[in-house]
Amino acid sequence: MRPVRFPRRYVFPVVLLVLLGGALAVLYVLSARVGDAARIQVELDIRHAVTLDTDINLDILRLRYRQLRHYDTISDASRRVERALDRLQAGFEKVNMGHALKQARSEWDRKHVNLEDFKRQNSVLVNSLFHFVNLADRISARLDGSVSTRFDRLARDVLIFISEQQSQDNETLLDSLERFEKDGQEWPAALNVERRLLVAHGKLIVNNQPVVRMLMRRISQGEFPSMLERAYADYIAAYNLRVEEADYYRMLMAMFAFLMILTIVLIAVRLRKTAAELARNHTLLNNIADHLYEGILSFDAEGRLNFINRRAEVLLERDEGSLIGHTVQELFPEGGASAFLTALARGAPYEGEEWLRRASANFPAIFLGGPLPAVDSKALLGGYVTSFRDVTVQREADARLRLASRVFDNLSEAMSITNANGVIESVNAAFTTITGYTELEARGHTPGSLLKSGLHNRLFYQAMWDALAREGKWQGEITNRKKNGETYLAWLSITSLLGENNEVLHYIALFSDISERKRIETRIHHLAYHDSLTKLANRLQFIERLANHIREAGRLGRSMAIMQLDLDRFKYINDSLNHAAGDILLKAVSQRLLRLLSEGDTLARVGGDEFALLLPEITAQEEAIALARQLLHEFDVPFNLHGREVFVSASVGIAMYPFDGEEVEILLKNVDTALCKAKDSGRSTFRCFQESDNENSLERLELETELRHSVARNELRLYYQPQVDARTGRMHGVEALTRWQHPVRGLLSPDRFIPLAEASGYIDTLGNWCLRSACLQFVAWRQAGIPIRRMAVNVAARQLSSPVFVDMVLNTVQETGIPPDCLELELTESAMVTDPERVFGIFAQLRKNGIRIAIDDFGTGYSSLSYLSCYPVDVVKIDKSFVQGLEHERQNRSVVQAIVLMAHAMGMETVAEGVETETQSRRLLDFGCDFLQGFLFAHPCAPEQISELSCAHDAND
Amino acid sequence: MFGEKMASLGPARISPGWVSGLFCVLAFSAVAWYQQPQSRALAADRFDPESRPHLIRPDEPLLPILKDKRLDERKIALGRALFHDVRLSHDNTISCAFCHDLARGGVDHLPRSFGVGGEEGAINTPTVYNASLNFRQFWDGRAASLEEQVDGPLHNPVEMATSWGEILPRLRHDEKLAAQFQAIYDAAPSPDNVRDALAEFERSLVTPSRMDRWLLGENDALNSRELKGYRLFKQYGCIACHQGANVGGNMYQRFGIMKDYFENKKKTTSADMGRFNVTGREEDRHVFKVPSLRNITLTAPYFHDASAVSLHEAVSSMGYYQLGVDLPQEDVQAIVIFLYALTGDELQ
Repeated sequence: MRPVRFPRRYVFPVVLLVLLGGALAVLYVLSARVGDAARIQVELDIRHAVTLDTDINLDILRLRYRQLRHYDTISDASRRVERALDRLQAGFEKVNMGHALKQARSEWDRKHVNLEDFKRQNSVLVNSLFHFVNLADRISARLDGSVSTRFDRLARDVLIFISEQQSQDNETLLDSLERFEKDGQEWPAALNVERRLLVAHGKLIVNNQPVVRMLMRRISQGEFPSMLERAYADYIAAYNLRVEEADYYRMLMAMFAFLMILTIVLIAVRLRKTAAELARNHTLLNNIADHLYEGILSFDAEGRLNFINRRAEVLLERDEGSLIGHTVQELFPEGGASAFLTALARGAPYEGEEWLRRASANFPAIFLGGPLPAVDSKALLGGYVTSFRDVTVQREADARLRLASRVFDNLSEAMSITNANGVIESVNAAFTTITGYTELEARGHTPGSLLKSGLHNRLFYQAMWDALAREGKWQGEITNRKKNGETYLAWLSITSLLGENNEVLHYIALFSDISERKRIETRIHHLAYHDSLTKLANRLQFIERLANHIREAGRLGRSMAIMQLDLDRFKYINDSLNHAAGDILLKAVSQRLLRLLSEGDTLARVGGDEFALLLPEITAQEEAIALARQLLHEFDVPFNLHGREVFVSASVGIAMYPFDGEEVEILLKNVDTALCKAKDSGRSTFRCFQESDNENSLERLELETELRHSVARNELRLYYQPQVDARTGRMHGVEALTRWQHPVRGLLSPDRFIPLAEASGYIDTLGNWCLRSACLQFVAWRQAGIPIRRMAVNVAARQLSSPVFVDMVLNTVQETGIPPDCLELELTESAMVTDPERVFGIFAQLRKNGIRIAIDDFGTGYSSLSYLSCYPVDVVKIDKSFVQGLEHERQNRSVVQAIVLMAHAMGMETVAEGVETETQSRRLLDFGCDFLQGFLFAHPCAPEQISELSCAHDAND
Repeated sequence: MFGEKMASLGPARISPGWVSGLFCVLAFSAVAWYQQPQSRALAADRFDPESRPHLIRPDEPLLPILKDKRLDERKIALGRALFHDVRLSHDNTISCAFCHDLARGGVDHLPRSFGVGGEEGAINTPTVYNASLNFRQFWDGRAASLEEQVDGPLHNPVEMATSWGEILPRLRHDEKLAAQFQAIYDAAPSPDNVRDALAEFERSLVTPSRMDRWLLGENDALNSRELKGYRLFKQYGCIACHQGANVGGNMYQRFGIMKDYFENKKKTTSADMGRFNVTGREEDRHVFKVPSLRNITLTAPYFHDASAVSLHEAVSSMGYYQLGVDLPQEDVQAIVIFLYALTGDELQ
């Protein structure tokens, strides 16, 4: 990076500023050269000197007249005047007027000389005068006669002269003194010394007096003060000139200062402009940086983040403030990004992929970075800048592609992709497996040329192509030929892939060899309708046939008989011998019974040791009773079980259509009641159904009455049995089971009171209570943080006949706040038999609101597997009889497997009931069963126990 | 790149008002600083009434003196050191005190002193005591001040025979002395500093006497004989020239007013020309500064040519040549007695 240069636009103003500053300084010095202070000093010194001069003049007079007797004041004043003059000289020279003082100075020098002379002469004069007077006094006292008179006159003349009231001029006086000196004959000799001295002093007085007077005149009349005044006038003139000059400079100064301010303003404006440009550039760069699709990070030489753009903030889900100044390591997951960090530390360019840290989830990003050159000379590196791009989507797409390709390869169905002309471009492994053609062999051919079996005519293919052209897809069964010549039945579905202009780009053909499936279907059908052990019809087929016969008999007005036969103590045989023995016994029983039946009769095995007989030919009860006797008679012969002779007895219940019921359900119930009566009567006998068996039951009445108070008396309980995920073993949901805490009879299971409730119409209230309680419990658990996903509640068939059933359910859901998709209503198959259309409507309505429907006790009811596909249900619950048979009965395994397979094919989930052993559990898992329920995992338990169970589960994890 | 842009953004925001405000403040403070010494200069050299004592006897021609208390003690100490410093002579043999022996009345009692190399001077050494009270320095008054006087003996070839160029490096080489100068003058030794220190020291050499105490009203300070001598001093007219604070020292006078002193002299020298050597005026021939009579008893021999060995002789000569009187011996004695009263108390 180029070094930061001084911007050219600042050169001119800054140079100007410096020049102006220099000029201002010079002007300031010029303008400050003269000031009032200097002028006042000069004025003071002038006044001082003049005053001193006046003092001196006054002192001269005082000295002359002996008012003052020393010269200290004059000497002092003189020295002061000289000092004042020196200062004045300096002051004058400041304004270049040194010469103006010259005259005054020389005048002072003259005066000074005169002063010194005056001091000298005055001293002499004073002294002589003093001695003259003394001598004259002394002499006069000793003279007499004419000498005395003449001496007195002379002395008087001198004194008059000295007092300046001249009677004679000095010449005459000198002559007189001369004569007096020479005229010595009359003078007493003793006074000669005094005479000579007196004359000498007299001469000195006469000679000095005019000199002193002249000096005094010169001193007092000197021009010194006026010359000082004149010099001062000159000074002031010069000073004023200077002041004007200074004013001029000051004006210039003001101008320059103004210019300077202007310059500064100019600089400021330019600075602001620069700042604005910088800000604009900055904004632009930030804008660019922020709107880049890529994140940008910049680090200083120490690896601390010093820039981050908005995209990076968004990607990292952190804001600038929390990142600027932080170290680079914070951006990455612990120990990650070592390649990038190395490059950053070295200042080397870097291109690669690293995982970045983010609060929600770390994400992969592609980095493209490089070192920044140093901004100044201090550091070698100026830092490091890198861009990065979130490649999560690409990576997911990659993963999807890989998955798709794996699916394509691992699909059990064959797939071929052709171009618009039908020429194969790609096939998968299953294609090769099914057809025998490898991809290399298949490519370049059309599927038709390769696989055509010749079993379909032209019309078939015509229809297929028409459908493809019209709807973009076709599916159906087709018989094709393999490479080895075998034909096979395929379920083929062809889809055309369209381009943007709706032109066909590809055809994707998907097919599977359904020969095997066809076989399985047939088998399942058989399994479904026949008891695999005895090859007799099973309960399903029996019910189907019964329904058919009822319809036919109803139409023809005929009657018929049904019977139910139960082996007495079969459980004992099963337990004391073994299951295989039980199986042999069942087979033998079925064979003996079949011998007694005619063509149109149906013998079905409807439970473990229960057989049902449909006897359309028997129209009268007497005939039925005769047959029952015959049947029981068959048991008089012992059965041979593995070489052991065993006596087995049986009980038979008989019901007649239409006398003992016109519906399948009622008939079956009534024949069951008859069987129970037969068993109660001591076994090995038969009983015909009688209406009174139901109506006159006292106990029943009692229970029914008490049941009506059960809700109000808070005697009903809900127990919950967990359903666990077969794969994880974790609790998925619970089934709510109703119990009646009877005050006298103790805890009653539902089969003791639900039929009562159904018969008495109390089922609506009871069902309503169960549903509401279960929902409330579920919500409570959820609030307590228990991870439960499903609440299954049993619904009795009679409840569906209530016109407000759907509203009741939806209201409950809404009022309790349970999420609808967590609620599962369990219904038995029988519920669907009576009025399928209405039931389906109810189901559809509930499912539309998200509520799930489960078929309970699947495999025991009246419904058939073939109906399953028609039911709008979500869950199939495999009846515990199948589950418990899993370990021993191979047939049961197939049935369970078939149920699971079919349920899954229909998009339903499966729940296995009554799982009690690990083996069962494992098998069910192998079959793909989704959820398991049974004692193996938990008994039905109180709500608190569910919480504990859940916690225990968590703890185990 | 972004970092640089951001960094340069901050300091760019300088408001013009702020800058011009700062400039104005700087300008005003500069002006204030420049003006101050000028106003201080104005106050200097005012007449100080404290410098002179109050006159108790205003009619007396003599004025009392006091020690000047306002002198700078540090300068005096430095000046005293310099006064005794032989480095102020060419060959490091002679100091000021060599001739102006402070212990002996500030003179060396020789007719003419000997300078560097034993050279004999041209004129009798005047005392350094009370020299600051003289209106001018030297016998002929050629120096206007003590400071000006310093250069005289220094450069005189028969006295110290040196120059500033010779002396100053010596002084500056003396670290202790240089430090003293630095402390007082904030400068290295220079001609002005040395002159100032010496002059300040000399200003401290003022010697108040009993006469001053009498002048200040202490009547017992003088006895009757002294008072008689003083009266004679005034009567004979000695007082006409020897007056003022220094008892002389404030005027010039011709030596030989009534009688020609130099007429009888066998050999006259240029020193005998007196002030004539300075002014060149005929009337200044044989004119000398009237010397102070303070400490006169300590400064024999007397007169510029040291012609009077004793004070009696000097007083008699003065009477004869200046007053034209042959003073009676008892009057001379009385005057001499008075003159003893002029000897400084601290020099007794």
